[in-house]
Amino acid sequence: MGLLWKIIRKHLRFGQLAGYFLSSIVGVSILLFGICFYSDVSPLLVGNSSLAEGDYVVLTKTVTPLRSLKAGRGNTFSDEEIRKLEAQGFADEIGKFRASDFSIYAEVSVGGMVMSTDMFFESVPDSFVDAPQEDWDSTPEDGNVPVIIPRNYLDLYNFAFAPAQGLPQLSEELVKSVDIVFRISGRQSGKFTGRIVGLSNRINTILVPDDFLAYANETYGYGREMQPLRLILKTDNAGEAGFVSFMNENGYMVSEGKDATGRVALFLKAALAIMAGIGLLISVISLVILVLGTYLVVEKNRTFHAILFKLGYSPWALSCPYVIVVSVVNFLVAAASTAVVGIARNIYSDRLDAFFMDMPLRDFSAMYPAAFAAFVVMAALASLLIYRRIASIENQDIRM
Amino acid sequence: MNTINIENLYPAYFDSDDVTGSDLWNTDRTFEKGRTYLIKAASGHGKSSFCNFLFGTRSDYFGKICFDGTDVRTLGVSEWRNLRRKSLGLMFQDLELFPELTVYENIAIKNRITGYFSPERVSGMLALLGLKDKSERQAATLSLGERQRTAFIRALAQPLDFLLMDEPVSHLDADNAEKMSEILAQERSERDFGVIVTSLGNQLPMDYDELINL
Repeated sequence: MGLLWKIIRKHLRFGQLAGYFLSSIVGVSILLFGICFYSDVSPLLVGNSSLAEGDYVVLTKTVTPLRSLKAGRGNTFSDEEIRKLEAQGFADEIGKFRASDFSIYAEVSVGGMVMSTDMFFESVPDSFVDAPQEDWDSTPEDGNVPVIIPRNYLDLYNFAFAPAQGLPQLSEELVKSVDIVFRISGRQSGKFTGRIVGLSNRINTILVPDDFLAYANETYGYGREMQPLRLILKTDNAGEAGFVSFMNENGYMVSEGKDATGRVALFLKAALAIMAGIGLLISVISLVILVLGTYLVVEKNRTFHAILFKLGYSPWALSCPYVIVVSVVNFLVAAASTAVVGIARNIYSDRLDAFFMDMPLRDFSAMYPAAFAAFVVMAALASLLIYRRIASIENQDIRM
Repeated sequence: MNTINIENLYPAYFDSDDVTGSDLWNTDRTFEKGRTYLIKAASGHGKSSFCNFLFGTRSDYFGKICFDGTDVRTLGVSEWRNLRRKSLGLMFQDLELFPELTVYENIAIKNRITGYFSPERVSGMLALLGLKDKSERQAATLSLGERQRTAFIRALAQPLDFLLMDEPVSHLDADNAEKMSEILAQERSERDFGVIVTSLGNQLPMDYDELINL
């Protein structure tokens, strides 16, 4: 190796290697930063408030004076209307809201103080609910029921009602730990213990599991007509002209029931993908420059390579010094890029902490496999191309 | 490898007139391991081309070359590589040394892939050929004769069935040519390889089994 190195080194340009080193650090750092940032913020994009999978809208009918006369049930969606909606092809999935057909009285005891109110239940098919499945299973026979309330109910209480009434503000964790007693009265009476399992940005109602409400309506309900008053649609087409005009023609109101997280997540993902793509592009261009630079050195050493082939050297043996150089340079690139991303992460993690208190950041060592993979891919690709180039010299120059 | 056969061999760039009267071109001939051959010709008669045809570094010829009955045109690069490491050596006319390497390193760069000579053996040969005190000098600073002697030792640094020597003493004085001949005789007595030497006139002093005029 030492002798081969002595022969080829005079044509190596260290300025060229330094240029590759710096440009590659930029490319690989951007690429790794995109991966690192995505893995850090992804917990914010999934979980209880996730809507990353698509947009949801809630449809209601416009309340008119004539419909008002029908005692709360004048705005229902008929089966025919739902079929017509399905036929438009706007929605990936349509869910009917089921309303409670009985009276509900809720009591909450917080710190010895009992609060109570009349209320209602609604349910949608489980696939529209963004709570973990294990929290959402209900067993009515045991008298327990999980509940999801709109997040803005808690906001209204904390930031409007509580200060005005001199009441303490409630954290999300505290709300979830409190048991609620639901007294149900219809054809017969019943009592359930409820627990808030989630706060939803998606659906602006008090949600219970669909199975539970079906059971409760059958057991306690008055047996009234239960056509849905609201529909929930999973759709990616809510902004399209056809969708908007269909809703207007039919007098349907599209609520902004969808949460903003979905769009933010989508934009964030797109931005990170573009960022990673730019990083990848810069890395690839840098690698091309490195390989072309090495080709030039190989070409300048062509006569020497031809002699070495005549002495019995293999292309692999002649490639070795070049492979070692590109591997060392790429290893340094990967190491330096990891350090750059580590520094950048320290900066942004402080900012994230300010916005999302106690957000658990992933262990940074999770980045090492990505950096190592970048090193292996770049070094292997460059080595393969250099080997092929040198092997072609053996074929061209030694066998005329 | 025990034999090299040529059948109606002549360079593709020759006219039919160029091969008339030659003992080698456009004839059938067998070179045997253990024997010595001297190919004599004036400049431009294809001596170096012949060496390169046998060494596999040129293939612009008509006719056929066979190693132990195998047409060399059927050999792949890895087979040629193997031959050049273990069976067939060439002392190039233009020597093909690496100018930035020292005398010793120029020999070592061959010896490191064959592992044939010990460092002591190389030093002994360098001493015999008057290069001992120049072993650490760069090849670029040597005279042509010194380079020729270096290339000679390098050509021996491998297992051999045949050694091709393309005008090996063209820049050597009689004394050094004699020393080279002595080393070659000693190596042949130990290894029994065949030698094919080309000469413009100033030939390597040796008892040749056959003299071939091109």
